[in-house]
Amino acid sequence: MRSIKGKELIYTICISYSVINIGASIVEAITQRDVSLCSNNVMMLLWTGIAVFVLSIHPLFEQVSPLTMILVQYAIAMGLVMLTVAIGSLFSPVSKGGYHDIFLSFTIPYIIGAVIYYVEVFRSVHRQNRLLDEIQMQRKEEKNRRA
Amino acid sequence: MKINLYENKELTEDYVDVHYHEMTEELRHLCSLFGTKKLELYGTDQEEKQLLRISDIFYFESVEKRTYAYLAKKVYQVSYRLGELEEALKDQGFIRINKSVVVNIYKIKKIRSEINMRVQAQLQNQEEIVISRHYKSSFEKYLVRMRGVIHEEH
Repeated sequence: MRSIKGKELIYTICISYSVINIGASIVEAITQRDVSLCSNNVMMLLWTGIAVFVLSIHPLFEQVSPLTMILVQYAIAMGLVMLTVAIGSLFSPVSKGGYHDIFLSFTIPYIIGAVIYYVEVFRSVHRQNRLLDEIQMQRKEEKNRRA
Repeated sequence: MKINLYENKELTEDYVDVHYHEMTEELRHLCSLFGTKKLELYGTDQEEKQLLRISDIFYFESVEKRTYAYLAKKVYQVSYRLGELEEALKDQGFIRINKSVVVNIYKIKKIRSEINMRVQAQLQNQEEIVISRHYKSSFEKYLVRMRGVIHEEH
């Protein structure tokens, strides 16, 4: 993934927020669910900002293993999400089991994303090994032909 | 391969046209020789200066602003910077795989991923070097380029 720097951070948040919000509106229109749009939009913007920020700091973890990076990013993102909800609860109370629901609705997509990443790492290693074999075989043949 | 040589005293600059049916490793190598000044790489090892054969080098590493060439068993300090070596040797199988290492792909035995998702290049001398996430994509693109055909999968 390319690094997100400076002004790009704001653009990325805006684009991601628009995509998520429009997507959510379409889902709501299809399922005909009536959700409080105002507070929902603010939370969605906050969480999009958190997600983009957390993803943008991945170059800081270049020295550590991807698994460590995923766990650290998860802890930071989860902490920030819980913090926004805790701050939000000062203005409107969180429903019973609200924190548990937030934990699940954040953790499950995160785990799915991590698994996709994990599978992609193994697939790319497989591809690279195949390419290496072909290149080295090609070179051997060239050498034999020349000899 | 058929080679035609033409002498023309009126030419102000020498040039080479290559007509090929299929781009091969041999042709690519020849093109790189025509296109660039051949790099003569000297390495020093405790006062001893030696001309290194590029194909014997496993990888270059930059440590505290010094660059070292790692052969199967010996290590030499070289006078070029890592970026210069990467540029000069890109057609001879050398590609950067992390911030401080440029590796010779012909010396890689295999690529393997660890359980923590870290990807390592295992060399023919059993050494292992980390392929960082930042260079993962450019490394794969380089392999595709070196194979000489467009990798269509994905």
